[in-house]
Amino acid sequence: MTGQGPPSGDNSRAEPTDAQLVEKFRGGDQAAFGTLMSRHERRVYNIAYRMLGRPEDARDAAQDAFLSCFRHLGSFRGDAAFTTWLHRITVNACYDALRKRPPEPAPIDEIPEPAPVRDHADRAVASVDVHRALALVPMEFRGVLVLCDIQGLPYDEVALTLQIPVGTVKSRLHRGRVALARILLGEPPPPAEPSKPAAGDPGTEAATGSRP
Amino acid sequence: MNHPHEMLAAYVDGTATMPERAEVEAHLTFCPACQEEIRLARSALVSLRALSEVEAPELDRTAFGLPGLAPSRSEEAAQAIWGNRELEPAGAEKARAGRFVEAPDVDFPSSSVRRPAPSGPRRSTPRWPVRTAQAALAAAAILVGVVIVVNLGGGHDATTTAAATPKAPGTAPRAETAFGASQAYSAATFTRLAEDLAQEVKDQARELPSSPAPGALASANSTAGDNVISQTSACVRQATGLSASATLYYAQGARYEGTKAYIGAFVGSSGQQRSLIVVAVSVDGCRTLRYIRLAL
Repeated sequence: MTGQGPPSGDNSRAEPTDAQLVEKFRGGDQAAFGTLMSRHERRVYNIAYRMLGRPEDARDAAQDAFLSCFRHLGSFRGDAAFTTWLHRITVNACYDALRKRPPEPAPIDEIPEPAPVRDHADRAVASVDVHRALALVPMEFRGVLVLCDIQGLPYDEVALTLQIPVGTVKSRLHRGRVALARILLGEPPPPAEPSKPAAGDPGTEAATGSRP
Repeated sequence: MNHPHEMLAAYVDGTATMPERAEVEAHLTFCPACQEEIRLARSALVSLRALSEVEAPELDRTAFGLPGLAPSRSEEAAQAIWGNRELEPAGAEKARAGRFVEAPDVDFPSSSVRRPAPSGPRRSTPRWPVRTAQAALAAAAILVGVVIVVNLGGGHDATTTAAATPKAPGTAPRAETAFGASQAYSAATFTRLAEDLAQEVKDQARELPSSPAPGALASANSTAGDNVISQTSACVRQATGLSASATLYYAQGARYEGTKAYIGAFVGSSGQQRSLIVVAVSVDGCRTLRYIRLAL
């Protein structure tokens, strides 16, 4: 993809695409990064919040993600969409934060959630419980759950973002959903995987987006 | 026994193809373990989709040497993001020439309709999608409104009736149509569409003392518009069960990542929280291609 956002087109007042902002930034226009940040920070923060559970951790991870983005934007080749790359950096920053964190009980003092939701089968599921349950889902499932089911990104996009095959996205997604449902039912969380990174779990070297 | 985990994910969220669905259902007939997993996965998916977007705190921009852009929601920055602009409708693949994807088939309904803002157009420049001369002419004509009765309390009394409602002169709606099967979205531009629509709905709510009356989706081109509205509703209902409980705000026939799709944006609420759900479902088989939910 060559980037998202509106084209320059006929209207000279049209807003630049992500790709154009990246070029402007590379050309020395620092303010272009600010526009990119304003455009994407809410989504980046929400990804981090749902992956990490605590607002302050999410804020730190979002900050780290933009810092990493800022530092490496010069070497971003543009062979993936800017957002694919930014989301990858965000998820990596979250994994880094999770690895540094000792295992803890469910987070407290989360952002207040809206009133309980009734889904179309008329069951009420409190959003705060879902948020807490998400924090107990094994790490390797959390990325796909957040990107696919909360952010609504398609499988291909998530596969590119996490640099794993589409089949792995789907398989983790299914197992992650089942794990989340069991946690919501009060069953004990599934046993943690051994401490080696799961296949496809992006390591810190991927923060540079060095792989296409 | 081999459990088709990959296909189970697609089966649960409605993105499975027909052959995949058939294969999964065949497996489910003799696999109670997977039947149980499907039930669990479905309820998890519903729970996850029900989560709302949260407000982001101010992020520190001084690390990037950007003092002039703090705070991030300054009027200029907001204008840069949400102000007048033309949005790219076409997928951004390099193989495609120009801004628009020309699909070979012309029978595909390609008009889009949008609930009008009762206070009139907010911006003088049409934003999404591109307005054509034909749409401008049609906007002056008598419009047919499709009224969708909404029951947001969890019941199932939603009914759809078509009523001929002449628009009073001087209240031209913001209905816009795109002609030709030339609207195509990539995953990235679809995300942007969803975010833009959410902002539109939020802006309209701010301008009005109370929520707009449910329904009253007006079409500039009555025949094509009605077709898009009813086909989008029916197909999305089949794929997600959604439109029975939410107000249709935007309907469009277009392509999503190359697949002919109905795109619908629905406003719903639970308690105090209003949300916009933007869905792309395939014309062929009413499969969910994409599902985004944004807080309003």
